[in-house]
Amino acid sequence: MRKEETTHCYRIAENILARIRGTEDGIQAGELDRWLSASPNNKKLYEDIMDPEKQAAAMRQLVSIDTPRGWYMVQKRVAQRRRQRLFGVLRVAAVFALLVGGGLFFHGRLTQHTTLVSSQNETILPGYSQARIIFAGGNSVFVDSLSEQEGPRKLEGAVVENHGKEVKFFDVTKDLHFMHGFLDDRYTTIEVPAGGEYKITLMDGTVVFLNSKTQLRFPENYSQMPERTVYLSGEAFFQVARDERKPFVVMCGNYSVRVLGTSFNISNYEEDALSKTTVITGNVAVQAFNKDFLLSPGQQAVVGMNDVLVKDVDVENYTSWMNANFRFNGMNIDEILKKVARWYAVDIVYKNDEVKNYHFTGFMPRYATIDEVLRLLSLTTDIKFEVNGRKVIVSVK
Amino acid sequence: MCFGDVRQKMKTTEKFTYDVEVIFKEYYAPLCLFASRFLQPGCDPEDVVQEVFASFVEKKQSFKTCQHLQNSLYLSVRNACISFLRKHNSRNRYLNELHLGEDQTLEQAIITTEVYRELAESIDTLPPECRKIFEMSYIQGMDNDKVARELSLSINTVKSQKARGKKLLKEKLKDLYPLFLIFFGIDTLM
Repeated sequence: MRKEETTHCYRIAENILARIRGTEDGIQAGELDRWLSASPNNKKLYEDIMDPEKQAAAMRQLVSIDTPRGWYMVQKRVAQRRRQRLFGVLRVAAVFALLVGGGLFFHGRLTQHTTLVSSQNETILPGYSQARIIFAGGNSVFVDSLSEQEGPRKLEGAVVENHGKEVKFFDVTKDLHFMHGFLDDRYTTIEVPAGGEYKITLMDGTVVFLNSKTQLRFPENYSQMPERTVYLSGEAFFQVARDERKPFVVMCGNYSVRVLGTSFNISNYEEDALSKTTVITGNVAVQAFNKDFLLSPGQQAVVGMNDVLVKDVDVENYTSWMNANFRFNGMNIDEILKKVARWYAVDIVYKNDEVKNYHFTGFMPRYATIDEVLRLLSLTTDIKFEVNGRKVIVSVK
Repeated sequence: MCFGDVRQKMKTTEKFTYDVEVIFKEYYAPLCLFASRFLQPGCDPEDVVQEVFASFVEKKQSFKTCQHLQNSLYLSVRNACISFLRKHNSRNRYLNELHLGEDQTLEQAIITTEVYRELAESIDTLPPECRKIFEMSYIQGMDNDKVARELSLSINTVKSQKARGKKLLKEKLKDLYPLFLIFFGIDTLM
């Protein structure tokens, strides 16, 4: 845009206003008339501006915009950008400290130099809060850490509040008893893509942390239902609000998990052969193949194609994905890299299959770039990583 | 035309000094209107304009003149709209969108927005009670009943207030004369 051209814009706008207000002088009138006769486009634009319907629509739009709220949101965005930048600096510092510490610790054991080959790629960043909500009516809305809304917002028959990293659903149909017959089979779906995570609060107060590549389907309202039934594919951590009269049931393909009010983690990915339910507090009943398996805290039910195995586990291995660090206690590499693949939205390719059974103990920062994490893994194991595009090639050192 | 008093200051100093918040208050709604001309219906123009202002606050750019600043705002919003479309559509659709918008060039969109911005400002010059009634009945399209309920007044009070305010409205709103015509009708204006 050249300077004269745009200066010209404001002058024309001024001339048009003067004509509307009846305050134009000879010079302005002359300029405007010359401009109008210069091109049919100009004339058409003038007529559009003067069109009463269009004017009314524009005024309606201008008046309806909430400027103070807009300014508030701008300040929030600025603060968020600053936080992210500061966080980036701290993260690098933390990883550095970890590397130095790890290096000293493993000095005796490791003589090989670091073997992470990264071929001049784009930096692969960790996941962040993002999800898509699909309402019963079919419309969907994308939420992420930026599209934060202040206060509850009505969306498609549901009232939701989005805090950037968390969505809360409110029961709007509580008072509409006559509607219940119609609303019972309406489901809302929340989908978290690879490289995403999200936290939601259901209308009964149950809190669910959703991991990457996860889909949760739940009824718009369950006040008329005998049970609180939700459908899960992927991984989620549930903190179920206690309700003795209404059990909370998670349907996971070929089995279901039934509780009254506890916290537990379910990892039910289609690509994984085994689906795991890990109990942190309270009691949980896993129903599979027409049998009930009762679990207490610290226990895990591993559901395969046709059997269930209940065992005691280190719950940290299965629940640290919600925290700032992944913690692994003798976890096998295959399982760790599956998590890495989902969190960084990358593909893992094994050059040597025996690597899958290697174990790793330690922690990895969740909000670091993939290079930092893989370097950490290769420092303390005999594994070599090569990053090529969005593919991570794994081999023995 | 440009931020009233602020422009006076600009003449005395070499660099144009400005307060982002003042500019935001004056330009946020008009820029949203401007952005909606480039975006498809259903896209939120406020989102785009908020992002532009967030960068604006961060960069603390300096401008030589007020028009330089205005140009920069309009251009940034237009560019943000284009990258928004690029992000949310396939390339082909984005190109189509831009071609569709061809009859409203950047220049034309600026002219339209500037005129409407000034017109909307004259609504703000009305006394508060007149402004409220004006917005409710003529912009939000409420009938007397609804206005009365919202303001907890009797219908007769609303009617008589409207009648009393009419003269004032007519004078104040000569800017919005065409708008006035559709809502009042020519007969009631006289």
